Amino acid sequence: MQIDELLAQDFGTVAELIHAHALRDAAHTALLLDGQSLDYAALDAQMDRVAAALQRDGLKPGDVIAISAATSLGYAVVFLGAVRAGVAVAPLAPDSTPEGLAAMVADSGVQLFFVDEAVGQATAGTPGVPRIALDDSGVGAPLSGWLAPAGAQPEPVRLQPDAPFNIIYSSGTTGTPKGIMMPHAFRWAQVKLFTSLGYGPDAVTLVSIPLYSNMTLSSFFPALSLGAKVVLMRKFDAGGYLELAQAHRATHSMMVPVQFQRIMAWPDFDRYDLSSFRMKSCGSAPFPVALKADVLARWPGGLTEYYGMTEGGGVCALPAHERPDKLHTVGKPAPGHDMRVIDDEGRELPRGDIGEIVGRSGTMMVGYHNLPQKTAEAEWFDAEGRRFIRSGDTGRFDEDGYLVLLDRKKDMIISGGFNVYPVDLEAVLRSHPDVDEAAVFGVPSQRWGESPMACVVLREAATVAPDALREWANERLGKAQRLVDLRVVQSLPRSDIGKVLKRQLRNAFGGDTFGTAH
Amino acid sequence: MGPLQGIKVVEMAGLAPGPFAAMMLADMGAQVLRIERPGQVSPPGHPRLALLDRSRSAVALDLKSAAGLATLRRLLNGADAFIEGFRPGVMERLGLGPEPCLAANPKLVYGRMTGWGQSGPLAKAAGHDINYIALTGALHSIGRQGAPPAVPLNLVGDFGGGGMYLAFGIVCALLEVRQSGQGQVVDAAMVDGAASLMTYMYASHAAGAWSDVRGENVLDGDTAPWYGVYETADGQYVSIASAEPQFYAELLRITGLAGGDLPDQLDRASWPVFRLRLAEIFRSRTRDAWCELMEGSDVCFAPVLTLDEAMAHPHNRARGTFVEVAGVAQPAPAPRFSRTVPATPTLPEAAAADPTGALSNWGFAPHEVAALRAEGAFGAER
Repeated sequence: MQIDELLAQDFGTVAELIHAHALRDAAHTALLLDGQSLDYAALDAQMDRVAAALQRDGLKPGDVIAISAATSLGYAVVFLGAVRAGVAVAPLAPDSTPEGLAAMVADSGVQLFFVDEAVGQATAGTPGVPRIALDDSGVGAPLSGWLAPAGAQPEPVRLQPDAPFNIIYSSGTTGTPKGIMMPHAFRWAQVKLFTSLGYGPDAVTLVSIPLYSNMTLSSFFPALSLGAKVVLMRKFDAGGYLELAQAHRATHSMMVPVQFQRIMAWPDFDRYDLSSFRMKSCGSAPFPVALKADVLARWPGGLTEYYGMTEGGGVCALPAHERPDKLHTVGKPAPGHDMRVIDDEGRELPRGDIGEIVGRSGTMMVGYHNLPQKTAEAEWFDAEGRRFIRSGDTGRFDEDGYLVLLDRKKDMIISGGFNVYPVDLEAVLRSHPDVDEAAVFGVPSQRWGESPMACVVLREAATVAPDALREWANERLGKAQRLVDLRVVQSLPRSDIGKVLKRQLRNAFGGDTFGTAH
Repeated sequence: MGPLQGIKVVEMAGLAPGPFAAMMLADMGAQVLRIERPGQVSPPGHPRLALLDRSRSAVALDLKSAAGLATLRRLLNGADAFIEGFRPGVMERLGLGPEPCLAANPKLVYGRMTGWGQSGPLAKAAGHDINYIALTGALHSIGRQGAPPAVPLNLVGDFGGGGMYLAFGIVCALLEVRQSGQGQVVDAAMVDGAASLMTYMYASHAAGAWSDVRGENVLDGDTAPWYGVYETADGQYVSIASAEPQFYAELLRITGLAGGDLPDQLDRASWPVFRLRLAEIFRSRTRDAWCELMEGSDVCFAPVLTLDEAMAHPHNRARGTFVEVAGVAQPAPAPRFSRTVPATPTLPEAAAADPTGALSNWGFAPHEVAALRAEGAFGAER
């Protein structure tokens, strides 16, 4: 089938599309990392060898493997080969604790565990499933010996739209990681969504965050499915990113806000030729308005902000380059995405009211692995019984249908009966010239139930005293919003994809100040 | 992660000293694989109670089959160190003595644990801990005056003179490999180790400061009144070691003897009588009462605790001397490291019916394990 015909189907698979690109232009570069590369024909052949090896080892469609390793071509090849065999992949954060990794491996029912030397060393001695060393190090069976021989052909598998593609363990800003099961239909819908961003064989996309992040995978699979050249980065740093972007004439890149922040703050930013860029995408964490404006002003090409969750549901997209007047929003629901606002009792609210965001689309998780109760808690059904995924975020749609996000519902502070949204306080703090970053969270208060407290990172050479800064902010805040405490910290604890870990701050400071926290 | 992370060790399942050495290495982060016989359950009981086997996995190999031997050979080719505790000649008869193993893997440290050693007239004889320490002067030297030698459990032979010296020898040889690129045989005999542990006594003896008669030396705990164990009012015991003058003064002060008409601390003639006097004083209060008076002071004092009491003692609790793994309290890895902190021990993995997982950590791919299984490497199908 031709690529256009494949893409016109209601359902297809990433693996089929990569095969089609290999037939169309075998020598076109598919993956590139640190000077090593694979063209589409080589990638396609490697995927066959992985799929055949999985079948030789008795894995069937629906079985699960896990990968926990730094980004490498082997990592990408194993993931894609598993997809070809219909085997679901659980990509696990390599810096998880050994206990955490063991728990996720056990929960997902993994049959083979692909690791690199660092993860293998850290988890040596933990009971486990067979391990394959992606880097041929001694921590598992070497990948080179595990792969089926060159030229091996896997048995073809027929996959249904609801067949599992991957299990993503949530980054855990709010507690124990949950395994989010995504079907092939989820990724297929993303491939279709990305056709609108100009991804195609002439695109060069720079992937600079680890491959276990859903944020990465959401652009990685569509990019390869649409025949683009994917430049991988083992570890992000702003200078290295800019060098790679310039050298490879990057056209697309999907990143998290902290990466944009570090790149825009890079002293030599304006010396790089970034004219090849067509579209940058961003998501997964709040994107400060001033930063969006800075990207629009100084970085060629468009900027699209996405708002959505790993669990799926609804996605909002903000083409910031088209609507610079809407930078305070996260955009409008993507085509075909149905998003609503509900109250605490699960009643749908009229447009414009503040409530929890729920969404429904082609990109929806099947559920949390082994957690039917948690899955049920994440679902909402409308009057017609259609399934929506709850976001846990509060917000409202403005008069033009753009979503204004207020906060994580779990992060919302209820002070004396008033809802206090940390983002509002963080915005005030960030407007102080000495403040670089700010995080506001609730701490127990005998009088108000909860009160807001702030941790801030000051700019270099800042002079403001913590108490003075707190008074300065409180003068600009509402009564219920006033900060009871403010601490200056060296840095904010962040997850790998840049989300501030407020739970850690609450644990670190909540108890210290009030003695009754936790 | 412990300081031996990245070191791979193959251990032939055995008793006491070998497993203890392997535990010490595993406690420090080494990756240890225990080789058992098919059908062998070592040791009996729930695996969480097999503390000497902790922090490592196991594979059952049928060494009567060519495939089983080939599997062990391949494991040794990928190992940094090997631990075996058979009688001399057993590994050689399997074709896995030091020569072929070091020829195939020149960096291998080949650790051998025996009682008598690899050579000497007794090398081939059977024996156990007390036999070995009997040969070193250690057993003779421990005990009370006029009584037969006291057996110091199997601490001196199996563990102190045996497993610990094997672990030390293996780590020394592993360090040397970094210089020379060459492995070697470590011949750890409990006789050698127990004799080495006696160095101080031999030194004192040579200097004329150590009596070869049991119970005549201060360290016997049966002579000087200020060095020994005393019974308390509740039938328990306390240990006193107030050897230095300032500590002795503290003992006299707290027992209320200070200021009285007392013999000189080092006047041996007065010791038997003074010992009886102190014994009477210690019998006047319970162990807990003495703890209140003396614990943490400079008397040099500690209550004699049972195993259960030791795990509950505040000092041990504060330092984490014992840890709990799967509900079983056990001694924590020792010693401690400031930077590469050893992980909490994990449950031993019994030799599973399916060794694919354990062998993958040694470079065996699942299809290779399947082939070995078909050839009987792991014994008849269970």
